[in-house]
Amino acid sequence: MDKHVIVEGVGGSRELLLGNEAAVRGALEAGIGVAASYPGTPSSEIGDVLSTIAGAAGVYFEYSANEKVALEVAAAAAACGVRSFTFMKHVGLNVAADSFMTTAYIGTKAGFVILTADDPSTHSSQNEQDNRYYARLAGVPLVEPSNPQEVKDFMVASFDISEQLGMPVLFRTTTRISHMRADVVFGDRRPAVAKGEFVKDAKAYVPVPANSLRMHVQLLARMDEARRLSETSGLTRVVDIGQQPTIGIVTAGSAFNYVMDALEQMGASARILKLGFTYPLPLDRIREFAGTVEQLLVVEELEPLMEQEIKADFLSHRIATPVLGKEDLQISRAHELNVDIVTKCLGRHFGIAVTDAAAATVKAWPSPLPLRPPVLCAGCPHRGTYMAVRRAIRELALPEPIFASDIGCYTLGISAPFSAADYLLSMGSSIGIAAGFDVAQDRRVFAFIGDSTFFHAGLSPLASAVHNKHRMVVTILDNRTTAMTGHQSNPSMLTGAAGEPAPAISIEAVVKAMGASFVRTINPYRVEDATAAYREAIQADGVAIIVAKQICSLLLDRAKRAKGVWQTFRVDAERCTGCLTCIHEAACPAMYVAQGHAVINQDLCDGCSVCSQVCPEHVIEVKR
Amino acid sequence: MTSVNIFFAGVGGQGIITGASLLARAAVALGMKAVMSEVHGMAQRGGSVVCELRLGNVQSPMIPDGQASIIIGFEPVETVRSLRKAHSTTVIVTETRPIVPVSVSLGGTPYPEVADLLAYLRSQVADVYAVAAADIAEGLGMPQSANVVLLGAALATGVLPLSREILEQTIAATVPAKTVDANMRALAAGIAGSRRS
Repeated sequence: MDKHVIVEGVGGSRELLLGNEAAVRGALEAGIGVAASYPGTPSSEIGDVLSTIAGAAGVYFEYSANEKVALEVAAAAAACGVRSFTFMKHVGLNVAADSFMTTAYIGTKAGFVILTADDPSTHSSQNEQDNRYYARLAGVPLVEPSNPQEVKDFMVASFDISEQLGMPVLFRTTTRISHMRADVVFGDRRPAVAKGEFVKDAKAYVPVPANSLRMHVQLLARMDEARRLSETSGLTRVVDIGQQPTIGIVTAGSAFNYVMDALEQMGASARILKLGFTYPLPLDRIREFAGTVEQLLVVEELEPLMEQEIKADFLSHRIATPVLGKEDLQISRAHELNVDIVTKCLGRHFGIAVTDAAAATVKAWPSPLPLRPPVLCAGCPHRGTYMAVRRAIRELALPEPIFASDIGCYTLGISAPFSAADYLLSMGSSIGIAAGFDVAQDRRVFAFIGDSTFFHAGLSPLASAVHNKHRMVVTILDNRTTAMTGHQSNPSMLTGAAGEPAPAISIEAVVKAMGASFVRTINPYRVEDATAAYREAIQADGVAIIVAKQICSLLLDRAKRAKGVWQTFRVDAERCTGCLTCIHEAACPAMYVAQGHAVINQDLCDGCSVCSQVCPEHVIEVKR
Repeated sequence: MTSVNIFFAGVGGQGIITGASLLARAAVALGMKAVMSEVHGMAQRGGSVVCELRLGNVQSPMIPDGQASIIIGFEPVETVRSLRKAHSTTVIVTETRPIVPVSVSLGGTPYPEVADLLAYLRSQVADVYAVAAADIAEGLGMPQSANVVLLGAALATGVLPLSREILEQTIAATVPAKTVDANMRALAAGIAGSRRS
């Protein structure tokens, strides 16, 4: 699909869109003028689309250095009267939280929507935190769609709600909504307005104590108004399934889809209150809804937030209708839901026996199947880096060091044979963690951090490590892109979000300016040289920096294909002794063992050559 | 439930999302409701990847266990791994060429014989179509079109509520202009190469 359809599609036309693509269309229909983000799955495709089409749409878009900066860019633009949009993965909102909390106090002039893409079941994340808590923590309205059409429609509505209340709106998707593709009917686009005017008013925009005390009171009043909007919101609706339902179900987001399919599968009847404007909860409406049924079930993914508020409200209003939630229905607070889980939990409650169609007829393969976790790609430059680290450690007979890792493709260094991830918290955490290990134990400490992650949240920890005289080897894995999320731009690159020229910031210059004791740039495809650099770095005092610079192989491969230059390597089976050093050191997905020899899968080999460099018999050669 | 449930399984980088999107577009062009669930992000890096497509009146894009109408497997072990989605009348179309995971070479669980994997599939469901899609694509001089070969093989089973014409139109309207002919030949080769085994 040509992404420009998302700009050019006229009202009434339809397109099969990913939830994330629908978010862009919604924002364009709302007439946004400014958008900013830091990429993070499952929200990344929003930026992929915006970076491509922002120019055509008359919208300013940037990849900011991190989510906090992105939120600040959008907040200030909204204060100028420009409708503004920022989006991030759930843990990105933790990074942005300091400013996010204050935007609730300060409010907004033009529509300001903050999208959080949560990741129940941690498909691409370190935790499955439920960001509905953030709406409650900060005091901002929350909107949750269930499918791409609603993502688009609710996005438009969220900008209106934001302007009506004068406060930012938190828009929450989950992986299964962000990455769901379905038909979307377009509405008309409101023209983008990218410039406004800032009217100075320090009382409204500067939360010094005298102002913030008043702002908090105003925030509470705005939330009362938000509650009134929620009570009558068109984003919330009642859906009747089957004949004369006596059971009511309150649900939202993905859970609504599972409830619908589960009821259909069971042939059961229920009245569903499907919430779209989910905080503040429309408690009057929920009480009224409860009056039309005999009991109320609450089906929600992760935390029992709606359930607890409804139970508390019914108690204080002496509503007799029983409310059943997580514990009553045995719906776990951990991991995402699906139709199977909801069918089982509702089936138990409805007294409908649900047969497991698969278990009834088809049996799984009787023994374990080989696992296929994600791995460093064939040709990934991080492979050479980790091989060199391991070689240097062996050559110096260094006691097994401690490896502080960070967030990016290189986290996959956790796998054998590299085993180079011992502790990980969050974006940019590696250097701070390394400092703690340096203080509290005696083994040598390594930190691994990517180029994009370094500019995201690695600068302050590096300053802290140098200033506090810690000793560590920090590798900045500079693959010239933000690879894991799909190759977005970052401040070390010569191009900005749309591929336009941009000033690149030299990582070497930055770390030297910060006082690193040792700085060396290596090419990770040259294993021996890289190993020698690590031997020196390990022996250095203070904060030793290795910049492992080599473009992501996926990008290099694309360029090589375009140019028609491609070489692969092969193992000379005649001369291969079957020592398997190559596989044991490189663990490349293009290699496997057949008849005791290493073999290179020619479909997957990228020609990076690192396996050939470690072959003791020199029998891995360019294929002629 | 009256939906047609299509489950795709394979390895990151095999063109699974592209293949599934083509079927979804073709279905929508015929006026059907399509919902699809894709995997993006970390799992793409050479790991097991699934994609789920449901045609009909359903809300959730994820296929309940045991309810796949057809499984299109891009790699034999991944096809077998997806059996939890199958019932005895599920049709299975599978690539026969293995991609051996690194874990096997490093001393993990060995990779089963492909013949054993296929025999097991046949013992569990009535219709198994084993297709050497990568070989066929290479024979056509376009190794990257193995996914479209598999779509052709799936189309020939008759389980998909799609015609060859609509799929051809969708491919022509979707893929880059210079690859349209190649993709048409891959589709035709997949249709011709589809054999119950």
